[in-house]
Amino acid sequence: MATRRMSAAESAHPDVELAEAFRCGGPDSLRRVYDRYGPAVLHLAARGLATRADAEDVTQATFVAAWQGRETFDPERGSLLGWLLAIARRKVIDRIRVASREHRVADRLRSLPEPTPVEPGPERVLDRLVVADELGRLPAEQRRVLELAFYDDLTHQQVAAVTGLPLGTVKSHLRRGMLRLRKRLEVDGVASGS
Amino acid sequence: MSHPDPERLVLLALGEPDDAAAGHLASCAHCAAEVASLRAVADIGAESQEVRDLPAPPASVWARIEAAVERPSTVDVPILRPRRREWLRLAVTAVAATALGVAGTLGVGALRKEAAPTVVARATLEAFPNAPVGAGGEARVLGSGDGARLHLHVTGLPLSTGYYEVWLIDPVTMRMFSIGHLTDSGDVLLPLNSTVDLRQYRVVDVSAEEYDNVQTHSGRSLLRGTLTN
Repeated sequence: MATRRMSAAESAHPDVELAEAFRCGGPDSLRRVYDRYGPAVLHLAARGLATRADAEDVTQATFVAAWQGRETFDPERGSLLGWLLAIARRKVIDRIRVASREHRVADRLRSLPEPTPVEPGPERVLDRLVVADELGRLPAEQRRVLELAFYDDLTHQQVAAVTGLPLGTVKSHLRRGMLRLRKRLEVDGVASGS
Repeated sequence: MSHPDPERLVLLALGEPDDAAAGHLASCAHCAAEVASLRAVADIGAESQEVRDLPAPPASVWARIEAAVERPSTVDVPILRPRRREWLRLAVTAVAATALGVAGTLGVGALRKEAAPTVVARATLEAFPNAPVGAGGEARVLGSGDGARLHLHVTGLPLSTGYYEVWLIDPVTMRMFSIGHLTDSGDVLLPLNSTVDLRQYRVVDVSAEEYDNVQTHSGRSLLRGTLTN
């Protein structure tokens, strides 16, 4: 029963509808998906790669690959953002490997260690993007409570004072919100998930 | 041993002091694991602030995406390729339409509206040995430049679990690209990119493809013909 209610609520979400339009190749859906998630994909690529040009190349390649393979996107297995970021992450890693291979050719004598991506690493950045997206999907009041706890480092009493919400409500929002973020990370994240 | 309330574990994970709950963790692996997992979420949550309002990529990136998805290439997918379920529905519709005797009318009507475009090249499509007996067809290039289209009329290909894809091939280099797929009516009009040199890419090929997300030619050509003026 609870599961059914949840999936009904999810299917009504505009992001879910956008994902479905994209999967079906709907008109303008690529543009809308790009407008919605292009900044996140570029951010992930830019954090993993040395140059801005490489990051833009990966962003372009990610959306082209996603569009060509849109029928393979399975909404049951994760969100569209998670899927796009997974494609982008693979492309970032490929780029790092190619760069490293070129490096090896230039310097055969030294056996290089596995490429170490620029900190904090694409996995961590991907998780941040997924959490930021899920925060954006939370009910406004719950999101506000979590943001005050995360970004302003307020205690639950301080959050209650700032928002005027009862303590019990604040604690309940924190718990429900945290559980939802954790669940989303299990589905779409890297460090906490697969 | 009684576990602390789940909400207290969340507050602990968020960094609020709670000596009693913290003490409990030392002796309870279950709650310790729960707090560790929530703390990981809280850490990422705090870091998510920096990705909340990200700038859009420069306009040039979108321009390149648009160009890449519109340009036919060997790794391109026809934009209007139906999903399997739609394909089946189209197949059913086509059968129903045939039963009513309107499919041909619709096809011809659609073509007639084009005010008799000039046929600039045509090819007779011959069946490969692996094609069903009696399969064949005709390809005609209508018009030139931006409005150029390839009209295919194909007969004798059965409904399949996959789909039939149409390719233009350069017989010298064997380079090829997809220009679209057949519909079940047997007649299809496919737009041609105005930059395509049909003297070079002059072989029209129809292949049997599966819904496998492999965008290259399956190697199973059924019909083929060479365009001539």
